[in-house]
Amino acid sequence: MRAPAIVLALVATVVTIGVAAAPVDAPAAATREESKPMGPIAIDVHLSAEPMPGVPLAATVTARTDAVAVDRLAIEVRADDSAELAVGAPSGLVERAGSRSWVVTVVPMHASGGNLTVVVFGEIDGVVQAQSVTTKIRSAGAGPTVRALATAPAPAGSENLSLLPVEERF
Amino acid sequence: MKTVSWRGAQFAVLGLWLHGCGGGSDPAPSPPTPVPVTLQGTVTFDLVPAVAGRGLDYPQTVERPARGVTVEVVAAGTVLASTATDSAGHYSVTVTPNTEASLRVRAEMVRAGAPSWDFRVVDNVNSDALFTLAGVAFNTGTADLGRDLHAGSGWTGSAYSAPRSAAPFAILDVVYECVQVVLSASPAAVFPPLQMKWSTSNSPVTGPGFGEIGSSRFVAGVGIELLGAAEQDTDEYDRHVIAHEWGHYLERSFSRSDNIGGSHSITDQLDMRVAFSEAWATAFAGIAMHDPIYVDTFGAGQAHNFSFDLEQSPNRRNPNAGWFNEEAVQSLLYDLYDNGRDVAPGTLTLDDLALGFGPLFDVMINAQRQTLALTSVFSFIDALKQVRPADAPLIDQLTMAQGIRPVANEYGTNETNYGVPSKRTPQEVAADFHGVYDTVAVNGPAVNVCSLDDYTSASTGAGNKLASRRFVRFAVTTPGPHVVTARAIAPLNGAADPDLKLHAPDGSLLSSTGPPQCTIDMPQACVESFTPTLAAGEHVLEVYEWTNTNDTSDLYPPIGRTCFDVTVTR
Repeated sequence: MRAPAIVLALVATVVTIGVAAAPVDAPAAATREESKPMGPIAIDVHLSAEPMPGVPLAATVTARTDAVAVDRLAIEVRADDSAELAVGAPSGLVERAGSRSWVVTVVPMHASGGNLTVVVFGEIDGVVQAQSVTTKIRSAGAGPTVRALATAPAPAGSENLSLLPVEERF
Repeated sequence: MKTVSWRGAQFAVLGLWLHGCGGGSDPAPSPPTPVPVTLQGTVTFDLVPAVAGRGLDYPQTVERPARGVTVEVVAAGTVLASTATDSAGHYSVTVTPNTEASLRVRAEMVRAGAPSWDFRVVDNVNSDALFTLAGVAFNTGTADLGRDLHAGSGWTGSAYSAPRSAAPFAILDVVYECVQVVLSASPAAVFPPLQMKWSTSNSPVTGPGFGEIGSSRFVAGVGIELLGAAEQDTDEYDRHVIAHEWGHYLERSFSRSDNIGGSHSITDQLDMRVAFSEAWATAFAGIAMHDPIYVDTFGAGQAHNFSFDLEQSPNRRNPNAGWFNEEAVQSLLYDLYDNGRDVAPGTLTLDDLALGFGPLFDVMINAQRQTLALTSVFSFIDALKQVRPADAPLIDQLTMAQGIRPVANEYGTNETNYGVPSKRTPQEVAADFHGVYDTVAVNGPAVNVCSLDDYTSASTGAGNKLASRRFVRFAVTTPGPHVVTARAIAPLNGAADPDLKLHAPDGSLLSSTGPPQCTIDMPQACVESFTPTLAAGEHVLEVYEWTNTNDTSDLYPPIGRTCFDVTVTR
């Protein structure tokens, strides 16, 4: 296992597409996060350049599957907020052994960027199967979006509750 | 509606009191004691079914009772009365009449004594605030009252345009079902507290922002984090997903898991500890939900999904069956539990066992927790065969149907299935296996083990896959300091970096330290060694090339097959 000092300088040079890299001296498994199973279709999203506000860039979406046969593999792309991220229609389908790729043009409208959600779906063993990946497209150096709290902070000393409306019937 | 206005009730009581004071010189009587009123009703929530092939099926939304949740009557910030709903969602409390109050339903299941539990759904982007349904103020009046409360999904036909009040209670409803299954085997179970962290901001993005949790997951010491970002990935109605994560909590709380975590899919060839733990969690989800169809929904309108059937339909061909594959192991566990007679692919084996949950849970909380081996399908099946010897032939049939040879012991010593490697031929890879575990004698000759990256997954990368970490057994007969050494010998095609972890019989885990890196130019740096003081007994040493435990996108991606000479000396 590498010493932390060896790698810190290198980490800074990596384009992370808005995803903070974990310290490389710590194996990911050490966190012991037990996540939900993933679907049978793998999706990679690769950006052609570092995101800049107002500058279009190509996102190459590659889908792979371990299944022997996949029928009617298709793609769906969307931004979670079109005011933050403009997304074009997928084009340029390329098929290689075991994978299919599309190119999607995206334009971050602000430095904070937005989320691009890609869903790839097809039929495997007679069942419609899908997988989704959400990628944050953000300029280098831009901080994460800070979301407003859903509710007002609780008064000091009182129990911290997140109040939800309820329908009362009587 | 049987309510009396606050002002009207005040006058009525005052009138009675004045009437009692009228005339005469008798001592003034005490005011009549207010008669408590009973407040009762039912708490329900919207449950949106997750359907394989269709995603969340909003038109089929049903109202379900919120079971075992806390209901409070609150006045001016003070709790006047509190109770828990029953198995039909009913609550009933007595309260002071003529009081301005409101109802509050807490997204929690709490019970003291034996059994006991403390499960809460909190808003992780709001300082872990407890989700609570907040009713409007009313006057308790003088007559018994009925007030039902319903939490809606917030779906208004094409989007979530109203608050998603039902979500925390849909999550708790899964927990309620999970608890019932455990209580069926262990009626006095004491569950450690658990928080389910959910938010509409919880997105499948991994990052430092609020709610960027990456995936629904169980994190020991933290709780269960659940996705809630609409149009991206929501899990509050994906009941098997919630139960899967709760199955991890159950395993960590009552049994033992040596799972190293990481991304995984059902077709992967995994480190056996990952494969078993994930399989346990998914099989438990099927058991607790009384449904073998696992569904995970996401995407626009939550209309996309992936699904699989724990029962494995006869036309399903698992490409990677074996002890390292979670689909194989989860179906094995489910077949041990259920009373189905599904035909395994490619065989005529029938599932004739129907053990139910109790025997499986007994193994989990006893032998699986205490095994000297690492937790895997071998330790589990070996223990099950020992406590149920009469069932051993049928158990063997089921394991064979999943590509696992009849289990001889907790170390899987007779296993010869090494899967389907993606980079080299099966014959080449098989030469790097001497079994699931290698064995080295203390003060004996070195044993050569190879850390591999031949099982990298297209879906989930390399980090936690079969044979990236190799296991070496040794028996300590003379307690004391032992020198444990791994020397990288071939191939030195990169900056090799051996690492060692030692699993001691008392359950402790010891790791080597130091950052050796070596190349063909620095072979002297290819040795990692440490000197733990060991007690007598069986030990398991985990040996691996560090980069082979990284993902392919890591700054230090796997360098591939790297072999070590391992020795242990006293």
